[in-house]
Amino acid sequence: MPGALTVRMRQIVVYAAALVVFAWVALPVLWLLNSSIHPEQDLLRDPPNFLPTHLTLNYYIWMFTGGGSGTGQERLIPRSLLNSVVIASCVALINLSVAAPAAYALSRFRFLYRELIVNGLLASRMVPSLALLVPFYLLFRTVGLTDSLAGIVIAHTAISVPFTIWILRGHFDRIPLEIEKAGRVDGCSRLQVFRHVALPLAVPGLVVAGLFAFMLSWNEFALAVVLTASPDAMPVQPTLAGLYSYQGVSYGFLFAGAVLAAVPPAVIAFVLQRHLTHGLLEGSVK
Amino acid sequence: MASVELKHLRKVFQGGVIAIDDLNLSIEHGEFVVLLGPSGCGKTTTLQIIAGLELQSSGSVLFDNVSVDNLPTHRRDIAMVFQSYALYPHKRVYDNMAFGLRMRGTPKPEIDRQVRHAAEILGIKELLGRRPSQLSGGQRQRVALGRAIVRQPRVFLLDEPLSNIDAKLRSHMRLELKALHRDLRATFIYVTHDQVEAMSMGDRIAVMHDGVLQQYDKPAVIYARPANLFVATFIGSPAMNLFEGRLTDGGARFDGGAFDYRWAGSARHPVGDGAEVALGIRPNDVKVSKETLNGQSIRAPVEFQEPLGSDLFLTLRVGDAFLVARTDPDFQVETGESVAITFPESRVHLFDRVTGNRVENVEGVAQ
Repeated sequence: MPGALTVRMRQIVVYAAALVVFAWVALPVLWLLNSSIHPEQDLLRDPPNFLPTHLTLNYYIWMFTGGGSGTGQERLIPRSLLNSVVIASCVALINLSVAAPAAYALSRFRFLYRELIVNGLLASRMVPSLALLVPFYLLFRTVGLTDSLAGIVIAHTAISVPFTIWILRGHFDRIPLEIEKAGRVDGCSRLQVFRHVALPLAVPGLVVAGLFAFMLSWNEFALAVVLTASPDAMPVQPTLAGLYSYQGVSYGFLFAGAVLAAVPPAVIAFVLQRHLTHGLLEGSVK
Repeated sequence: MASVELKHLRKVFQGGVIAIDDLNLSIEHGEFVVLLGPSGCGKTTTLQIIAGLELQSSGSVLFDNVSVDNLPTHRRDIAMVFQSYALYPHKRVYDNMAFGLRMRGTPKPEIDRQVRHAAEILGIKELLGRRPSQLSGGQRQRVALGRAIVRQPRVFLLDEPLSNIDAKLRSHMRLELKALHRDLRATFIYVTHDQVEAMSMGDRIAVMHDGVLQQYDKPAVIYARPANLFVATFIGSPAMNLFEGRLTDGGARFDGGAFDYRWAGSARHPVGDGAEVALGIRPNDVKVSKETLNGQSIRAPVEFQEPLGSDLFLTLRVGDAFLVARTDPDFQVETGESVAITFPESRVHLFDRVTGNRVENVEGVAQ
C-alpha cells in the first residue's frame, strides 16, 4: 500500500531527524565524559588516543586528595562546587519567595501601570549583563559585599528575578478565576487563596522558574569572576576557568571538573521533572 | 439559613456598561428563587454581588435584614456552585469537600462526619479518593454540590450548575436539586438562562433583562400573566404568538388587520382608543377545529405540521403573519387545508407596544 509506505517513510525521516538532534545535544557531553577518564597524555598525543585502553578516574580522585600534575587550582574544585550549590539554591529559593507574590499581584490585581511594569520586567532582560559588571562591582565594594556568598547570591537574584516574575505571572494567569472565587467562598481570605489555592496550582511554574534561576546562577560566569576572589566564595565556573592559567592547562582536571559541574543541575532537573507535567489544572473547570 | 434582600442594587462596570439597574428583590428564608434571563442580563453579576465576589456600585445586600455590604466573601457564610464547577484540581474529592470546613477550623472528626454525610446524600461515597480529573461531568457536578452542602451555609448560590452536563442527566439533576432543597430547607438562589429549569425548580422566578428586573413571581403566574412583552416571549416554548394592531371601540376590540378580536361583555382596556398594542396567545391556548365554531373564529391555512408524538404543532398563516397552534396528535389535517381557530378570552394577553407592559382587561371601565 502506498499510504502505508509514506507513513513508514515519514517515520524514518522523523526518527532520523530526532537522532541528529540527539547527537547534537549528547555528543559533546559524551565527548567530555570520555575525555575526563583518559590520561592527559593520551589526549595530547598526536594522533590522540580516544579509545578506552587506559581508562582512569585519577583526575576525579586527585581533585579531592591532591596528587597528579595539577597546579593546586584543582584542589579548589570541590569547595567551589559546594559554593555553587549553596549560591544557586539560595538564588532559586529567594527568587521564588520574591517572584511568586509579585507575579500573583501582577496577574490578579488591577493597578496603575501594571502592563508597563510587566513589560519593563521583560525589557530588563535585554540589558547585557556585562554592562552591569562595573556598576555591580562598585556598588558591592562600597557596601562590603564583594568576595562573599551573600554578595553573589544578591547579584544573581537581581538579574534573574524579573524573568522569574514574568514566567510565574503567565502561570498564575492560566489558573481560572473561578477556582480562586471558590476558595473565597470556602472561607479563604485573599492571602489564604494565594497560599492554599493559587500556589499549589502554580507548582509547575514554580519548578520552571526555580530551575531557571538555579541554572542561571550555576552557569553565570562574568559576575562571579568579578565579585569573588577567594576560594571561600568563588563558585565553580570561575574556578574551572582558573585551571586555564599561565602555569599551563590541566586538561584532565578541566574535563573532570566540568563533568562534576554538570551533575547538580542535571540531578535537580531530573528530580523535579515529574512536577513539570502538564494538566495539573485538568478536571477543575470544564 | 437566611432571608436575602437586595435593595436598589446597581452595578456599573468600567466603561459605563450598566449590568444591574435598581434591582429590588426579597427572598424568603428557605425559598428557592431562580434568576432567569438571557446571557448578559445581569443575573450572574447579581449572584456574584450577593456572594461578595463583585462589589455593587450602589445599593445594598441584606441577609436576615442585616447588611453584608462590608463583609468580604469569606465572612458571608455562603456556598456557591459555579458553572464550571471550579473544583480544586490538586485536591482529592474528599479534600475538595473538606476544604471549606478546614478553613473554618472545624474539628477533624466533625469534618469527616460532614463530608461522609454529604457524600452519602449525593451518592459519591466511592469517589472520595479520586481527583477531579478522574471524574465525569456529572460526578464533578455532584462534588461541586457536595462542597457546597457540607458547610450548611446561610445561603446557597448556584450559577448555571446544570449547563455543562448532558440533557438526560440534566433532567435527573433537576429533580435531585429539588429534593436537596426540600431536605436541606435552605435558601437557594439559582441562576439560569433555561426556562425549563426555572419553571420546574423555582418557588419564585425573577426574570431579568438588560440589568432590569422584569417580573418576580411564582412560575405559574409568570406563565399565565407575563408582565411585559419580554417575559411573554421569553417564557414558554414554542413562544407566544403575538400580533400587532390597535385598539378600537373604546378598548373593546383589537384590530389586527388580518383579523379582529372583540372582548365579550363590558371588558375594556384602559389604554385608550387607537393605542398601539400587541395581542398574544400561547400555542397551547389556541383552539383548533375543522368547523367554524362561532363568530370570533378565524380561518387560516396550515403551512407546516410538526408531529412531536405527544403534540401536533400547526403553523398557520394569518394574514402576513404565522401562528403556531398546538393540537392533539390525532387531529387529521392536510397541509394547505384551512382550519378554524379561536382564542379563549381568558387566555388572550394584551400588551402596550409603546411601553411593552401588559394591559389588564378591566371590567366596565369606560373610555
